[in-house]
Amino acid sequence: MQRVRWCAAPVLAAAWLTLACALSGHALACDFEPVKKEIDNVLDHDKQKAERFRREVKDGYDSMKVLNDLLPPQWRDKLDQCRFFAAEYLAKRGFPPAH
Amino acid sequence: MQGKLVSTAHGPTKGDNTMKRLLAASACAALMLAPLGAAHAQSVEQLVDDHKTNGDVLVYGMGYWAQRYSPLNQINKTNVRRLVPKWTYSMNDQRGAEAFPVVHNGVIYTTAHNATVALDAMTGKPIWRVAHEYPPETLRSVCCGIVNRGVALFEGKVIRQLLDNQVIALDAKTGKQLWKTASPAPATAANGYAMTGTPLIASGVAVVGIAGAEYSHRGFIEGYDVNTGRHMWRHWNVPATGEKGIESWGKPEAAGVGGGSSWVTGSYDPELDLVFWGTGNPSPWNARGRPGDNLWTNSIVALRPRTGERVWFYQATPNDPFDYDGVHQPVLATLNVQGKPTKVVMQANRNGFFYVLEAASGKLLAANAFGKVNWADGVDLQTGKPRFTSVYHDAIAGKEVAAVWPSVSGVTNWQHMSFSPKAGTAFINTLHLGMGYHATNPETYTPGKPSGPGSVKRKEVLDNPNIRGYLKAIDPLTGKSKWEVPYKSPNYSSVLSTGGDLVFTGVMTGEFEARDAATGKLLWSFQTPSGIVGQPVTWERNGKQYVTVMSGIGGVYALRAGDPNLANVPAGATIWTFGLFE
Repeated sequence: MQRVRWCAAPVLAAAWLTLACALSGHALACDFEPVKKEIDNVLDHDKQKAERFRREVKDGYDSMKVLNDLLPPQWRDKLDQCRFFAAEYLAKRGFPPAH
Repeated sequence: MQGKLVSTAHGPTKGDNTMKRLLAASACAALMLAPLGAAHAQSVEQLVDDHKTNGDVLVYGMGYWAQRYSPLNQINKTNVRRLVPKWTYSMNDQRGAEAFPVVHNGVIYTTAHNATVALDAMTGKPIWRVAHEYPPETLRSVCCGIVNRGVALFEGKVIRQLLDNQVIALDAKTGKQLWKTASPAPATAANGYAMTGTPLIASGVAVVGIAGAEYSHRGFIEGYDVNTGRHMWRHWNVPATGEKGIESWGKPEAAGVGGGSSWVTGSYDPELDLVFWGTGNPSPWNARGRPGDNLWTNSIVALRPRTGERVWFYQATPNDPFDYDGVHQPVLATLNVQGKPTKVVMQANRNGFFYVLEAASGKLLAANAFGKVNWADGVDLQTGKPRFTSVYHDAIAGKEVAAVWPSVSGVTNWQHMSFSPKAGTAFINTLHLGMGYHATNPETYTPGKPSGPGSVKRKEVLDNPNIRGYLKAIDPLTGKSKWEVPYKSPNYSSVLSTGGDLVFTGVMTGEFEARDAATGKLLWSFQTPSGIVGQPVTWERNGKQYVTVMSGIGGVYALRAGDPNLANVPAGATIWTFGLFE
């Protein structure tokens, strides 16, 4: 029994390591659909945020930066991971982060 | 990331006759191509003579001097109306088709961001296609389009860069991977690096650049052994603490994330053994946190290809607050300067000035505006520095500026000019866009943090909404236009000029055009299915001249400008070859 535990320990450690690596990799990858929904929430469903977004973008602020400030904090990393696609989507919605 | 050899475009399907037919066809193609095998070697001599050999297009820019000029004149002003498509091939990609097709011995090699293909130059039939995969997080630090600008050829190898900062060599005959090398630390997407450019093979070294100055990176140019892929050297475009040049960073700590990318391929002079490369904007765009000239951003650097040693540099835009990303490919020529034939390096800079420098020394010979510029009223030829106006000083001071010309997109962007030695003229697609500008309080940056558009406030300024760009024929020594043609949207296609007195270029709405080099008059146009941001080339085979270009809208302007004229242009990358109707 003891020997089995000794064998299981490295297996469990490896499994945890694999899971951690997978999660870490996943954390860096963009899952755009939910991010798009959050962008739509700001632009279409939250009147105050939508007004602020349009006002600041019209005033010359970068649309990605304004969006970042308006999204709930837990979404900011996700927006960053999806930076390319979010910028592309904002351009299609008429708010290009002009470059 | 593993390069993956896949079937040709019409891949075999399980258990049907198509598969057998394709296998038979492949075998026939292999047999037909077998005698060409020995001719797949592209020697140093062939690369040096590329501009003289009309059958091949071996070097990015149609020769080491990057003139994008061919003496071919079979297609000319009198018959260009008979130009028709000979074949087209789909790249199976919805991203920008910016690649420069190279042509060797009846085979065209070109790229998408995620594939490299070899095509029969006469028919467009695929010989091989290699798919390239990269980790999804790679795209986080790709600021300006998911693109690749093409391959280099050397001794039977097809060498290209991959978005995830790797350089790869494929066998030109088969597409089989020969070597692949990751750019050493810190060149990762997390640190703000990406590769979109094309290697330049000089003295047996694959010289490559890097993108990412919008992500707080520290830019470089580097060299790889073309035979083995061994990383040989790296030229940092921004100095480290304690190094020469750091005195130009008033806050040395800012240099560590100081930008200076190199995302457009350079040029080479074999006689001087110098590679000329444009370096990009400093990071962040907002200059208030990085006082000083910020060497060696926005410069042309002349490097030894075997070692990366910097022989000279010239900085066009010191302490740049406007993203005047000076990466435009330097073009070499022999010009008559004050009565003396002089080997020069020319650069149509994004900042709006057309520079002419002595190639051997970097001495500034001429610098003149070739578009609407108001941040400087000229360049002092003695000091080489711009004569800044209040527009620049106010921007640096953090004041709101109502109109800066040009905008961050520049008077030109990455699209390459052509220089015709026959006409003594540079042909270049320019932009006509200004901006309102305000550098707000500077932030601090760490590697990988976005440091571009978000670091300043800007508004679009147009003086004519129906003219956002021109194709211009420019005298290099004066910057003055011999002719110019306005466009509703700027052309991001490169330009090709020929001995047939023609200028070819593409339009963002899909037209591929030929114009009279002497007058700019439109002589021929063909509507391709998408917008053109590609690079036309011309070549001959069996005594006939052809013109090849890629179509496929994408890249920074299409993605980020919000230009209403482009809203309905369909995506889709294709490559086209045209010849005279028979």
